[in-house]
Amino acid sequence: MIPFAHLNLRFNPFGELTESERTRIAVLRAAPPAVGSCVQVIAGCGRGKTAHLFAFAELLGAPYERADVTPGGRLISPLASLAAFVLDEAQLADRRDLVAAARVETLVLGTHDDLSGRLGGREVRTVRLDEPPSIDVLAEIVRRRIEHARRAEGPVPSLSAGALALLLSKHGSDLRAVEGTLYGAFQRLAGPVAVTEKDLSNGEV
Amino acid sequence: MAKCDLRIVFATPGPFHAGEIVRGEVTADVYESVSFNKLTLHREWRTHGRGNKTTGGATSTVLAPAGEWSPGAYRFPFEFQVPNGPFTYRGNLLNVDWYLRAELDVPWAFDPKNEIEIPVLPGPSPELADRGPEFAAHYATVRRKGGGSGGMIAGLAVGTIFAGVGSVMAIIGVTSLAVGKFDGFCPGSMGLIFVVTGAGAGYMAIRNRLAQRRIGRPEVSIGPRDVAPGGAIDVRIQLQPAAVVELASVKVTLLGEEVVVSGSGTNKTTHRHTLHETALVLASDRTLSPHELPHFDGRFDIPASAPWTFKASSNEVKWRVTVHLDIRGWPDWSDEHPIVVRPA
Repeated sequence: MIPFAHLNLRFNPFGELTESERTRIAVLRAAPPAVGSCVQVIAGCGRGKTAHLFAFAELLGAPYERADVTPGGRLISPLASLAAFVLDEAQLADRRDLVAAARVETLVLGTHDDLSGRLGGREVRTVRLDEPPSIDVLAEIVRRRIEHARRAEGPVPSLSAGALALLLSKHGSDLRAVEGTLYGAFQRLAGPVAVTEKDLSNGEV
Repeated sequence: MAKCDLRIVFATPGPFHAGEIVRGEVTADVYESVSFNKLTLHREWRTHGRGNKTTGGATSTVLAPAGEWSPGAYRFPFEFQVPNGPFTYRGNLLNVDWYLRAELDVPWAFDPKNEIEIPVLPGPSPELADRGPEFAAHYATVRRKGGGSGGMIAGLAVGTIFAGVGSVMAIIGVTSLAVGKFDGFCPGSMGLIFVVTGAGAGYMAIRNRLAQRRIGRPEVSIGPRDVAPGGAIDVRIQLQPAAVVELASVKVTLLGEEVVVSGSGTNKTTHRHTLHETALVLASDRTLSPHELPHFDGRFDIPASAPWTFKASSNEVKWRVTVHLDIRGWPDWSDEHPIVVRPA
């Protein structure tokens, strides 16, 4: 009855993680923002944008807020008194909040759209996560997820090079879709072995 | 190397049953002298899987107050009564587990800790079991789909808004195309989609009301609503037709599924996994007349392995019976009724 003991894991590595877990194991594909800079991370859903924002917020010691779940449609963070601020889904932010956020010394925006023209002329560094990760980066993302779920010393499941290549060819930059495919594969896994292309091709990819 | 390692050892191995007294000890193997604020034993249940994690039932016991340990081995006995749920569940999208975590609060340093799972099974009072923090509120007040006017009004409102906005967009688009501006294609086509969506939403909102003009208001009886695996549920659908009705079929379905939600806001996704689905056709090709009082009966056997109902934030095991009356030449009637599967 011990969950995933047969895989030497505590849980399915590709299930939903908490914010702090995502921050702890994030594989960053962009340099952290320098103090005093403004960075916008542009990507569609499922590309790892929020994981980057969580990690940047922790590095900067900055509050993190999402513009799509703000009560009354307005941000609640006290922007005027902040030295750093991280705003996710910024393309949904009220125009007034975006102008106010642009005055924060160090600002990180997560967005689906290019907001560089809406920040009062502030210079913006743009990071795009819509390109598929390299196979090495994908391998590291997968490895950290599995290690995070490790139960004890000893073998744990892994992914073959072919499985990684297949995931990239099928899902590209959509890490959420990769997550979903691997979740199903790990649910079916009988032991701490390597997941192969054949395992992924069994009706799941 | 850590200054000490903590382990949790049970006097007898699990799984454990609700109400049972569990005894064990936390052992500390100390390698270097360590000062600490307290040694605490935490207990809680957590969900894990494809849904947002949620937790509950948290308790904490201080096993040792502030002190200092020299190198050596230390033992701290504990005992607690196993809670009456939620019970350990191993599903496809959802898992529920109880955890015991020993933690040493070391000032200005990494806190040594160790955590193990506690498998928890039903005990002598399963009818009183905790079935998740949202269970009681949900199953006490749940409304049947289509049973009240509130849902119909909301559906009509949504449908009207969509159709109205869509009509405006369609007019703009068509007007632009009429004067040779091909950029009117986008708003025009989007407008048509909105109009169709709005019409569909409005139709679904009033479909049952329309059906009831022919078949009367169906009386659906389901019993028992609270059943153990291996038991059975009887379903009766009583009709009082207002006119001659041609029923293509009367179908009832028992559906059990895991429903979990991942993400939040615009990134929220609902995932479903079917645990069990059985459909019964109680009648087909029947003609009913206004003076009849026909009823249709069926029985569902609940599988012996049926998972128990559970409801927490973003994580649910739910069971329901759906009723569908396929009326020839007239809108269909459908309804759904939640049932609860509990430990025996």
